[in-house]
Amino acid sequence: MVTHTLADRLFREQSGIITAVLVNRFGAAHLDTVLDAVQDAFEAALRRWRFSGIPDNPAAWLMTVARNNAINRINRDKKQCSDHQLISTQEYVMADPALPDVFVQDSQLRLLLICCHPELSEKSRVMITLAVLCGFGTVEIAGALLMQKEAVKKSLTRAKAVLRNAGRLFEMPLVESFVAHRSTIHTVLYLLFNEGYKTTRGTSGISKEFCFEAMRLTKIVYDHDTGNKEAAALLALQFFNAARFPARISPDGEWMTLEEQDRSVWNEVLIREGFHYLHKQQRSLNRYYLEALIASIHCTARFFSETNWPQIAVLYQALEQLVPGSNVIALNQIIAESYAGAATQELLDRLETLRPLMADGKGFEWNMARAHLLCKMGAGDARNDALQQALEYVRTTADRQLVLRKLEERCPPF
Amino acid sequence: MKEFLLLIRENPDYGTDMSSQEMQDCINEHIAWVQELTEKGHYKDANPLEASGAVIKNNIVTDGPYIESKECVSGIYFLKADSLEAVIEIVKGCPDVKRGNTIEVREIMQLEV
Repeated sequence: MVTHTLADRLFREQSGIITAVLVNRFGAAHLDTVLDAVQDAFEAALRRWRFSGIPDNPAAWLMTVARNNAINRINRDKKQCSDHQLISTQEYVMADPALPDVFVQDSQLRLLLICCHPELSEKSRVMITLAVLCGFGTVEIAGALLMQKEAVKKSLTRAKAVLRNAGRLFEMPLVESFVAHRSTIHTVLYLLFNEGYKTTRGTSGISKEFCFEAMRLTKIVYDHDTGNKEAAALLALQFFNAARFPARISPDGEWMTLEEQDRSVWNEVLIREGFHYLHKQQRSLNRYYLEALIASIHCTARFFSETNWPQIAVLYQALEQLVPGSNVIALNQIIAESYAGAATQELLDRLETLRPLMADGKGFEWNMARAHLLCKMGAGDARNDALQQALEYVRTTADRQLVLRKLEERCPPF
Repeated sequence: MKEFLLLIRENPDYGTDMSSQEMQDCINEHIAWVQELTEKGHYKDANPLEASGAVIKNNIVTDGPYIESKECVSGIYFLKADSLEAVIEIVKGCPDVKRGNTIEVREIMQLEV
């Protein structure tokens, strides 16, 4: 009798783990083969489990099928180029289907390192990590990154070719390569979370999963390297942001700004977890720490009006010095200052210098910031013009709805 | 109760373009369905079939009429129900039907007295 259902996300989680373990065994040169083998194992499960139910240990079942599949494929390829030694199934049989956690974690770290290959662009690193380590399909990635499916496919194919040819780079001991590429890994995990975070307002489900995957991987990195202050700060930042997920979308599916959010549904447990990691990090200055501090200030304000904006403005200033030339940070600082003090022509002029953001995919944010300043300055008509402009840069339905709602509301008096 | 064989027909490439989440959802739906059948006493057996096979007719062996028509018998269910009408109602609830697959229902002849 069939009584169990699959745990949520079993396939996706197993996909990353199985891929990591098999790439660790067979080498990055066989990445494509491993990915195909994992896909095949899932298809086999789909056919079989539909009719005959789930085996007692589905994870071990998938691992065994994928591994045998990979061995067959590798042997088939080797036969074609003759005199290589064939891999025997026996040789690679894992003694215990429940692999030691540390082996699984090391495999995932190693694969994460491979996905953060220096020859790949940041965007490619994020995409290949999502595909290989988090088991997302092309359609899901395209949906959440607001890209065309074909573009994602092409990017992934290119990225895989790079990894295939350059896998040796990471065949040194894990510890050494990890230290050498630590900050790149952090950047990828930071971007991965942000990609999910910024689109959660558009596609709800999957994007949130991106954030949770980023947190899962950051946790692995942190556990491997517990003195790693950057990773601790990154975890803190992720927890603070994730804590606010429940309030970002209204029950009617509308995107809520920080000001409008119902703070009573913020997740207390996640906020506490955020502080746990924030304290681990003991004030070593890095951008994740400053961002986590800012997020913690939001999380501890009971009402929007209680937010300590002067402190946030100072932190953004520090952040600007740490990450010079970031227009996004400059934009956030202007907003923080507008809440900390008053909206002035000076702020509006500073915003004007950030116009390049419009060409940089941030036209929506830029125009919304402009509308916000104009509104605070009492320039209602100009504010509506800015909102109209913002309409031209919306990426999701939720973006559009937000602007339309703002257009209907009159400028609130300040 | 009478016994019925359900033949599921679907595209042999089934599942190759699904994401892991969709696959998992599909399995979950089927398991829920089978569980319901079991609880109500309709379930007897079920098995997937390999997409490749052979069809033999007049000593000519082909890979079947199914591959060309892009459909093959992908699995069978063996159910118990009081009547053909009853089993038709059951089949309407099968996730495969909802996914647009074809299901042929045939009653097993009861020859033993």
